[in-house]
Amino acid sequence: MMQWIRWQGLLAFLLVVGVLAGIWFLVIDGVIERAIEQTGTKLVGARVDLEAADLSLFPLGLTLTGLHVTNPDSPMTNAVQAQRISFLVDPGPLLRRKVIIENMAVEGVQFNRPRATSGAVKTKEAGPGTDEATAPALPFTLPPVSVPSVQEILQKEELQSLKRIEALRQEIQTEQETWKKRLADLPNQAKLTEYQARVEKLKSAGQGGLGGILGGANEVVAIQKDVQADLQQIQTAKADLEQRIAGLRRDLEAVAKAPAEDLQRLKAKYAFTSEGLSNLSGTLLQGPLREWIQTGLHWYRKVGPLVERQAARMSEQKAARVVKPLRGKGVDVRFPERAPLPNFLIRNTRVLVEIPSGTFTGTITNITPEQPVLGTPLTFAFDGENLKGLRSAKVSGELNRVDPASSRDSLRLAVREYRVKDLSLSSNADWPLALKNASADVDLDAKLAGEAMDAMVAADLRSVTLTSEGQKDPGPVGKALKAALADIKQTRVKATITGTTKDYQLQLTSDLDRVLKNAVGKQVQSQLAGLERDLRGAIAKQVDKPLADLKASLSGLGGLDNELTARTGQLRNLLTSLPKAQGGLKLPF
Amino acid sequence: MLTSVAKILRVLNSETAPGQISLAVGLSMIAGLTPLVSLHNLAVLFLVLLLRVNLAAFILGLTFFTGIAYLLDPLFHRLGLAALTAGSLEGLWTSLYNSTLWRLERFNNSIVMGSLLVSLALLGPLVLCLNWAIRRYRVHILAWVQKSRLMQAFTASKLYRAYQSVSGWGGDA
Repeated sequence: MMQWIRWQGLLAFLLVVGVLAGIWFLVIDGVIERAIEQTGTKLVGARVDLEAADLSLFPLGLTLTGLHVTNPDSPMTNAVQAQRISFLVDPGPLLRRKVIIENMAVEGVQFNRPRATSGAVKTKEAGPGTDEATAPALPFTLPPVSVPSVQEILQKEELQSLKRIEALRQEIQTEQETWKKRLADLPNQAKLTEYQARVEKLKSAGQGGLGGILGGANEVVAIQKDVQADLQQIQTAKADLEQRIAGLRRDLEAVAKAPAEDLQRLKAKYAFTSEGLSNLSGTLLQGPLREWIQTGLHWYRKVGPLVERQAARMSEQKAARVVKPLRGKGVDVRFPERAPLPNFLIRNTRVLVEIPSGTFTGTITNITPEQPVLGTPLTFAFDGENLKGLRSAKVSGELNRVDPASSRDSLRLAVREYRVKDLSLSSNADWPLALKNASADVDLDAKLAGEAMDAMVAADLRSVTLTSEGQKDPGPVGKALKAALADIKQTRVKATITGTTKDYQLQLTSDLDRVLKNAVGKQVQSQLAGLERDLRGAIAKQVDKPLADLKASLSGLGGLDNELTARTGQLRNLLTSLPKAQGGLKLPF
Repeated sequence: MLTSVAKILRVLNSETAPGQISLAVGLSMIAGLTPLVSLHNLAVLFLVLLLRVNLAAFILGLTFFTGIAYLLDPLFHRLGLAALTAGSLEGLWTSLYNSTLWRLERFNNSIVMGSLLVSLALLGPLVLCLNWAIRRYRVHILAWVQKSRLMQAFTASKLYRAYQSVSGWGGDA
């Protein structure tokens, strides 16, 4: 047996293992650095750079220095960068290919820092951002603050009432022509004369003996049948015509209301209405708010996939069962674990974020792409005190993908005494408006269940300075509004956001509306009354005559109806004047 | 190619016991057919160095089996997946899956499992067949091969002399 043992081989084995371990330790830092850069670049869709990675074996840990993540939408900017990331890895689970990090410290986090070189990467397909929902179009624009003259309005605008009158006039004319043709085809005076001639002939034939009497009875029945058929034809046509006239009368009644509708439409377009004033705060504030929502949703979509890769991986595995495996890759089959742990987990991350206002500190717990395995959602909480430009800010929330089929995420934000400066509310040339200064307390509570979004934002603004400079010809209402806005020192704004992340509705309410309504109400009422009076007169001037002509042409159709009534009467008279042919031979002649 | 053939002939013609050659080839089959960076291959390396098997035969065998492993991967994948998803073995795999050592071994990978099963199943038959074949070769063909021009050219080469100087590693002693 001993002749089979080669003792120097044991030494060689130890030497080989030692050399391999030494090589591994020498190259592992570079391997980790490249792995992080390559994986990060693949995930983000833009370059991820790492200055250095340093692995320590006792205790087992890693320190990353100078992590720069490019913003894929702006390759000359780093979306986020961190000076130093350090953590210790639990060696036990690592042997089972599970990276479990109990505590991680992330220092010097900065956002939107410029890059020296572009971080764009060539991709075969369009980035994930291409299917993002664009901001829904603004439902309305700023109401006008000055009103053009009635002549100017009517030159620019086409009256719907005139168009409708003309359309109905043409319809009535077509009907008249159609009915005139139909009337010509119906039994007329010539036909009546023909019947009378037949009756006269019958009378003279009745005096020719028994044969004449019997023949006369048959002719009476024939005349009766013919007259009744004609009468039926005329009555059917008359019923059709009356029905058509009734329809046209209804159309005429509707057209008669068109001038009033034109008046309302033009009033709404060219003058302040109560609706316009009640939505003023929404009009002013929804622009900036929608931009913030879009930015928030953009980053939410970027972060989401990082915590829900489990489902994607499972589907990849299913797919791998049926495709030809790559050399040496195969498929990893997973079995139930006694104490299941995700393949990657950072339980606690302490983060120091440096923003221009100062330093935010916070913690993120349970970072893992496999929340269903861990059974606990990712939570985060950040706060900053005595920052430049705001007194305090707290952000907290969770990304809950424990059940991949029904994700539930939430975000809460509380900002106190945030100093707003030069926020443009309207760049409209007719009514430029900016929030020059304000101190804002903002509270946000947002919940997302799958794609469904339900959020509420409340903002208290104090020490408000609203400016409206560079306005061209503001008019009396514009002047009143400007004065009212200048007097506003504080206001409260509430916004509710509902719908889905791709199609959401934003509703804004504010006491700003009440203030402005009171301030410019009288101006508005007076302007509105004048405009309404003048517009009504001008519309009537254009519409009254065509409308009267229309009524006259409809009454022309009534004349055709009279004609049908007359023919019906004549045929009925003829029927009653016919001798009776039944009940024996009681012929009148 | 000719050099490889000559090396094989050199090994077969040596004084090395057939068992030392056939076991080396058997172990090279395990290391060659299965993914090289695997825990069990560390054990194979340990056995190759500790046991007095023929190293030249092992290296030649490793080269050969690594080459054909590329062609056999689809087969290993199907076989491994069938074994790993067999209902009757689920309890066994689950208990192995919960063991750190076996997780390091990556037994739950379809190619690792398939190739390991195939190579372990073929190990015994291969070693026995090779033993028999080497014995037959030495009795019936050895004398003719030693007189061949190819073998004579090889034994006169520098490579052969270099090999001779370390032939103690070959398991001859």
